[in-house]
Amino acid sequence: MALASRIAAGVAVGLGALAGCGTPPHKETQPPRPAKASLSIESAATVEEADNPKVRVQVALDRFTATPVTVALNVAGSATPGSDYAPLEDRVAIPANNSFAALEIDVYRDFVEEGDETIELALGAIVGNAVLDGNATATLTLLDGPAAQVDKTPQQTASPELALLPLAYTLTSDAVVLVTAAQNGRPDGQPVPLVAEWSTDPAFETDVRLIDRVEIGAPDDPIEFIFGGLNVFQVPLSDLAANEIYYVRAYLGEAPPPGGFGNAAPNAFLDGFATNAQGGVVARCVAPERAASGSGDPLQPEQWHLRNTGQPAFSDRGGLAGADLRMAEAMAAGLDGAGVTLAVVDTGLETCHPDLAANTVAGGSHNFAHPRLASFGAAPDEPFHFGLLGDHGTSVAGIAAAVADNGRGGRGVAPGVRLVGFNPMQAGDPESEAPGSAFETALLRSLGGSNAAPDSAGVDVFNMSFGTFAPGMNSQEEFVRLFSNATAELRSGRGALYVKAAGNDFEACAPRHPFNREIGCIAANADPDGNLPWLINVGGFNADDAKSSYASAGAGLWVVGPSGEDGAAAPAMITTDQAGAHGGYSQYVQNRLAGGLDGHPLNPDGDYVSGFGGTSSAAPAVAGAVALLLGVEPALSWRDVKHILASTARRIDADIPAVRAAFAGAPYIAQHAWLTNAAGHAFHNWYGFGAVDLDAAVAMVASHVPDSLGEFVESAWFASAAESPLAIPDADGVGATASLAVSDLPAGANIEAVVLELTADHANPFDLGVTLRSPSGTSSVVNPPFNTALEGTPGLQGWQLLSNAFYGEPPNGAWTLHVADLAPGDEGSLTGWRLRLYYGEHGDQ
Amino acid sequence: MRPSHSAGLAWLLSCTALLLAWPPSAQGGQPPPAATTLPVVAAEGRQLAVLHPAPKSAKRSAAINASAFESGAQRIHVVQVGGQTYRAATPLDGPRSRILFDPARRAFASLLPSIRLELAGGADAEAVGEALGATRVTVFERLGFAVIDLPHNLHPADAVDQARALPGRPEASVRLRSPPIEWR
Repeated sequence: MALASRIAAGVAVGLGALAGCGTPPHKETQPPRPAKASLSIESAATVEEADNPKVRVQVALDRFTATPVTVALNVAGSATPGSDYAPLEDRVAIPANNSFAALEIDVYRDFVEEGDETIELALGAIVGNAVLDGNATATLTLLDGPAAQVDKTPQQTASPELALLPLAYTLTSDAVVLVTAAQNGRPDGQPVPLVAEWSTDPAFETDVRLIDRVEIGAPDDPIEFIFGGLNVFQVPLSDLAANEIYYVRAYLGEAPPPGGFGNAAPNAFLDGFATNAQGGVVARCVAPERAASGSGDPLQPEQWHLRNTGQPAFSDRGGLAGADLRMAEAMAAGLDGAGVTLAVVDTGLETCHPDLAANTVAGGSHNFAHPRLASFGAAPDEPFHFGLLGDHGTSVAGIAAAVADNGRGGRGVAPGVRLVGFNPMQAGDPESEAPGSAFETALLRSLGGSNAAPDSAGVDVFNMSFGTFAPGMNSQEEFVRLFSNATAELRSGRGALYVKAAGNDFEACAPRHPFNREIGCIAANADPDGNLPWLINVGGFNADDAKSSYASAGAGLWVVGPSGEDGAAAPAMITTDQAGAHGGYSQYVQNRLAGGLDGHPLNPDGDYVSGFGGTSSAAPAVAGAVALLLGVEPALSWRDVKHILASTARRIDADIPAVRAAFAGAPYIAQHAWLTNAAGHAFHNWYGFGAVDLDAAVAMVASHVPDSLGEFVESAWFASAAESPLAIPDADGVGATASLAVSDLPAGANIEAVVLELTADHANPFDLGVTLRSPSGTSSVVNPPFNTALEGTPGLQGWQLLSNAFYGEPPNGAWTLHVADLAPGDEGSLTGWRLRLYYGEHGDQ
Repeated sequence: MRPSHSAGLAWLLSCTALLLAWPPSAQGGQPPPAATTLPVVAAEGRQLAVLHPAPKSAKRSAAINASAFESGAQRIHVVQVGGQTYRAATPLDGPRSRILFDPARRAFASLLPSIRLELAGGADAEAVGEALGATRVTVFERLGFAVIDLPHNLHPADAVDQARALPGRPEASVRLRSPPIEWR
């Protein structure tokens, strides 16, 4: 159309519009006036690339149009589509009877230094009854984010210090024995002293006696593995005085760690022991004298995990009201897990503790150190921990099972439960070169494999606040058989419940890549037992209703329980401690609830601690919740309980964004935001199905028919028929993709767990992120990239990885595996993978 | 105790080198020379080479070089495979001296001083334990196996062979030592 004609037409439309004011319409239909199209960026025109922003852009008309309008979109600028942002369509369609359309510019973080860049947008040709107005262009500026290289410096070089690993602290017939192993080697070749001392002075300023000093040398060549090479230090019993308290310490270096002993000093050990009137080491529980008990639980108001009102719990600040187990109704109703037996498999259990004794089952616990320590008066049914400075098991037990309304301390989640404790680590002969050689057998006997001494087969709920670090390895066959059998046969076929701590290694590295701050250092999958489908893997949340800073994450999590933070800057967990002001964690200066004469008035006897934490504390909170549910309905099967927990868990930290970036221009998601799977279950690798909501779970029990989930079936392995190996592009988010078909499983099957077995020939699997996608389209990161647990691991050999993210979905169809190598320098290929599915038939709601 | 770096070659009180071929060579159906083989045991679904001090029996061979030498109170094991060298230190004898090498995972593993006996074939755990001079037999009836704790001087790989040679040829396998427990 010539310019003159267009002007004429515009004038005619304008005049027509004016003429129409207040006058009847012409009988002749005039073409409607063209709408004016404009372009605008809804948010700021400058964004930070590092924020992974999604920027909305709007193409608007100044009025509705009766017919669709399509506007060409010209994209230019210095930013590269597909690399710096998701490519945009070249046109924007505005539907009929509408006045705008929006599009989203998905900006990628890329960790590449490239300067600020722009995306220049301009509207172009229009199809439809519209014209451009003056605002037809827009520019979005992308402020460059920080560049980042993956740090592959061997950690041994980066941190040349030897590490001291305490392997055993125990008693023999004639000595208190500390067994340590020095790990790693020193590249500089200089020997380091390892000093062990004992004293009656906890500060070791007086009365310091040397046990031994040895030089830890370095070999000419690095030794990757040390078997044996143990340092055994002994305090002769003949040197001990009666009614005394002694302390034992060991440290690497010329002087003790300046910051003291504890978590901040991994190369040091400190513990103690007490002697009795005969000069022997106290090796069994002696009920302490305490004032008469009353009613209530004086520490309960500070136990935020039971009911969070924002109380500080003896720390500097409080948390978020409601960030708790949501069990107000259960407590009000007096639900307490009565009749349910809960086992704490741990360092020990102080069965005579004033706030635990009433719940401990007489003769139900087992001391694996007996009869080795019978001459000390050790009892076969008292898993007493003779070390003075904290008994992990006693503190774990209090979270699940401390007695309620006895006028003492706080209360447990299930304060009416029948409590037993087993101490498998105390099996074996510490004097031999094989300390703990009997541990594996003792652990089998502690976890349901024994009908007598201990009767672990009679336990309903096992708490496992422990784990191992064995990245790339699978659970040992004996334990696979144990858990498989115990969930099928114990509790009269309803199955025992195993509640396991997922780990505390989220921050356990100097970040090798910025991703480590967002997705963690060591993933929970580094613990082989965390990849078993029979357990309830528990992560941790804090008093702010977010992940505890240290809590490990992974696709194998089921739920999270309360675990808090450090107890100083923010609340930790308040629980039982070894009785007495002279011992336990309550002695540590970090503990705000210190006992003793100068201690806190709510802890006059030193029986409690306010600084307990770790997923070790989340697990017993959930184990207590499980016991409480079984107390409400004993007929629930282990799968019923898992189903109820998953179905009622709270989605916390709901707005947590996905963690993603572009690598070699290909966008990659290292951690998804909360995803709702095809069965309606929301899942996140930090939280599993969410935080346990006990009142909601109890409510669901009322309507749930026990044992209604159908037969639990373990499928055969489904393997890919595709050719292998499949090359994995180096440092490229595009990755390698393969798929396999799962077929012929029952049409009504619902997934309960999926295990991926992965084999990759790769020089450094630390580079690899592994994502599995179900036929229903749910994606699950089963191994995050830059999992520092895998640093230096030479390939992956049949590593079995659990994902719970597909719970309730149908199993049949095409499963897709994506393996991406996100760091340059090491290359490899995917050489094999297969899937095993665990399912029932229950029409998951 | 770990060796002092200054001890140098004086550590080499003894040295044994084994040149091997892995997996078992099928070339011409010729078995590798017995003197150059490392014994192999199956554990946790893997095939692992038994390092010196080796049991009496030998079955397979591997494309790995393995050597060992004494250094003070330690034995240093050196394994070369795929162009890489891996080293481990053990006591000279006793349970912790008995280690394996996993060629697929390029990692050492330590043997427990016990074996697992499968009960499925009707094996009599007590009888097997007695035949092996066991210090203890723990039967896990529901789990289908028994753990047989071995006398100090019996290598688990030898114990497996001895057990399998007993009447009824019961199935047995070595057990690997778990990584240390961490309380969380």
